[in-house]
Amino acid sequence: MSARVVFVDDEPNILRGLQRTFRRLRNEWDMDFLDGGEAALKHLSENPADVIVSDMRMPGVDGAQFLTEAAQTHPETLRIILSGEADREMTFRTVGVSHQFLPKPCNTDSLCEKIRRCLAAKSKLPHADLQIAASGTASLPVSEETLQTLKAAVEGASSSLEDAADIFASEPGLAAKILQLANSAYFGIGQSVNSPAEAVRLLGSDIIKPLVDKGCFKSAAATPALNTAVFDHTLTQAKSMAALAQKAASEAQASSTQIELARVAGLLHNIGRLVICSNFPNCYSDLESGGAVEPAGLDQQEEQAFNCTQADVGGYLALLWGLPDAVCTAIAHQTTPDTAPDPRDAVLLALQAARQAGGEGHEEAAA
Amino acid sequence: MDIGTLEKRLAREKAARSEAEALLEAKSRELYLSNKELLKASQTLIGQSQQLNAIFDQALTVILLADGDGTIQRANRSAEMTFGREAGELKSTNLYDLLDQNSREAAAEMERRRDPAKKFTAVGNMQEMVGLRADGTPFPLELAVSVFELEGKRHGVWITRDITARKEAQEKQLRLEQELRQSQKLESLGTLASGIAHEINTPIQYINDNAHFLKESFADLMSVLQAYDVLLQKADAHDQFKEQTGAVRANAEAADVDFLKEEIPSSIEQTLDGIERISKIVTAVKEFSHPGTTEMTAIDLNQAIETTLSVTRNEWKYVAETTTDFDADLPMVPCLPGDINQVIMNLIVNAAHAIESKGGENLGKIAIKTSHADGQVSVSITDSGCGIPEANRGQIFDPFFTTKEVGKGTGQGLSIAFNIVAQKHDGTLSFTTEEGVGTTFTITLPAVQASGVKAETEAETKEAV
Ligand SMILES: Nc1ncnc2c1ncn2[C@@H]1O[C@H](COP(=O)(O)OP(=O)(O)O)[C@@H](O)[C@H]1O
Ligand SMILES: [Mg+2]
Repeated sequence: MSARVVFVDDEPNILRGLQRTFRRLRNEWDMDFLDGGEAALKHLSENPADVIVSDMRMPGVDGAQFLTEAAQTHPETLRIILSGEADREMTFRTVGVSHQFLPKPCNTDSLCEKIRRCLAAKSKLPHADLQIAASGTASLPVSEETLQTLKAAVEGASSSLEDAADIFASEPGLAAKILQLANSAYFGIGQSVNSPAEAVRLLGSDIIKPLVDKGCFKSAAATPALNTAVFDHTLTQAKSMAALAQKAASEAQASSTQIELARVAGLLHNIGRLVICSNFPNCYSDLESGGAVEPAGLDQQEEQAFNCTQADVGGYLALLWGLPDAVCTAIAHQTTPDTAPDPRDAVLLALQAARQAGGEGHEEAAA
Repeated sequence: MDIGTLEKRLAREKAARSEAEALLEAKSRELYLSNKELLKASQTLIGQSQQLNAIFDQALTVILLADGDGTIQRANRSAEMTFGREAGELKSTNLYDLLDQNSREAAAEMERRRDPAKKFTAVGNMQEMVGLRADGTPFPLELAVSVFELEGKRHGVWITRDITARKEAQEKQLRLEQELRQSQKLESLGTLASGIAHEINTPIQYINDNAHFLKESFADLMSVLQAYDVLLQKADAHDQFKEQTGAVRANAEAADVDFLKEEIPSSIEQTLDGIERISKIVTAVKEFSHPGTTEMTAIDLNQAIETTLSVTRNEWKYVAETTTDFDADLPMVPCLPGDINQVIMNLIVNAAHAIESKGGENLGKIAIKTSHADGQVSVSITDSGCGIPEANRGQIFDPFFTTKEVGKGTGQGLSIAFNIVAQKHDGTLSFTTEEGVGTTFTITLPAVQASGVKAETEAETKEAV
């Protein structure tokens, strides 16, 4: 079945232009071009969609409002903003309800490529519930303690961006979200940023502070469905993998960029599990009957429940959020490096080495 | 003479004498009294004059008393100090020698206009003039002149005040206002730029889409045309199609199809090229002005320089070639992006002007280099321009110092740049120059310290192992 892609803009020339360029994909995608937010909402109420590409400034229902509703009624969609320039207030309203922000003019080839990759990753998740959980994730849970430290760091009179940068670099929920925002054009040009600390510095306190204030980062305590035992384990595992992957990369004499990418890949290697444990707390039935929390066991239960791995979920989320390519690939292929586009990629190798060293790999080798 | 007569005479004389004595006593008493009053009066006078002298000498205002020719009769302590003279040195010198040439005339004119009958009415009416210290250094002062007559002769009193400090404060204020205006200008440029960016980017999006569409569809059409060509050749073999094939050939010739086949793709290609350039410029202007960023934000200086070069292209492209030598591992620099871009812009524009003023047939060179060491990032901008003459080197950072004609220079570029780098970013701005060879301006800024994060993760690594 071909993917259903919806383009929304108030400028007819834009719609016609997109229609002409994407005409060559008419056999691959089922496309609709809708004039404004209202028309788009009406269309969505009658038709399913896989991808939404929407403008921001539109008369009547603007982009932020449209996407907010679309995220509720169609959480399974990939939601991309394609906009010339938006004011900050409007942009803040799109942070949780859209996945990426592309500035106009955008290269339609790369837009097409982005959509294709996301759809391919989505198709690896056989369960619709899991697809919805991933694309419906506005933010990943963050430990209460870290969130409090972060609030103190940005709010106090002596608030320091450097402190905030360190905190963002330390937890997967924070690191992933900030990389998403900096790699997209939400607050500026959008450039490729590999390090969470650098992302924080680039965005600056003008943006970081309102993000924290507006509750863009959710505490684990505020995630009612969370399986806390699995969450705690996931966090510990993420941090130790981050350190191990960084070490592996630096021992392999990788460049400083690759070392940081490896650290980030380690930190984010199990964001898929964060999605699962905050949406499907009961998927870990073994734990309820007294089983210990250990990675191989969790993998197995996830596979039983969803017929896919947490790496598939994490890989999908990373692509949805437009995280650095090397990180997306390393996450998605952490258990299947041979099928990666480049199995010798330094970041992927570092994550493999970290998994060996950290005990995750051994189990698999044995299994 | 009989005794009686004598006695009478004696008695008379006695009386007269005692009368005279009494008179004398009375008179001398009177004298005594008036003498005493005189003494008292003179003491009062002395006291008053001491008081006046004290006021005269203690006054912070300069007071000079001169005769009609301008020869100083009296000068107070403040006068000596202000004009840098020893005690008593001013007396008998000429008043007008204390002023510079222009002020001398103005002061003489002031004096001429005063009416001795209306004594000190002019004090409130002060004029700004230029005074000279002992070594001839000029300084600003205010002067009021009044005249009066003493023993039928015209005298003048000059009241004046050194206003150097006040002038400096005023200039500082002016500079602050200029800077404020400049930053407001930049701010509104930023707002304007992002508005324009939106307006331009939307049409660029569909122009671009359409051009891509044309490019692809033309390729498709071409393959159709090729198929037709084959058909045409086949049809040539059949006489019954002669008319039609002839018409097709004639049409193709009229439309110059061979030319179209060549030129349409390249014209589309160039259009796409142009679109890309426009959108790059729009992005650059947007990035350059950084609207709304008033807080320290870490930026990639290499990128900022690239952006500024493209925004200022028009300023240098006719006079110079620019080259960049970027440090690939340059750390991020926390700064006010709009401000730093402005510094780089000012330096690039100055470099272009220096090359232009040197003249010559060939294009000059502007070389920009970035590097880092010891937590410092530096940017150097080297031009092959005229250089800065020795005499100007001490002044180029002064506000309003310019050697350029009106309209080209305001003399503010370097003073604003210096303020931004040194005051706002805790960095340095320095230069080396050789006349006729060129100038290098170097900015250094403190970089982000990333070492803390590293040390921590390393510790973690050890723990985990
Ligand atoms: N790169 C340079 N080469 C030679 N002279 C320079 C250069 N940069 C600045 N100057 C000198 O310093 C003066 C002050 O510069 P600036 O403060 O930017 O003001 P403006 O450029 O408006 O004159 C210039 O007029 C020029 O004489
Ligand atoms: Mg200048």
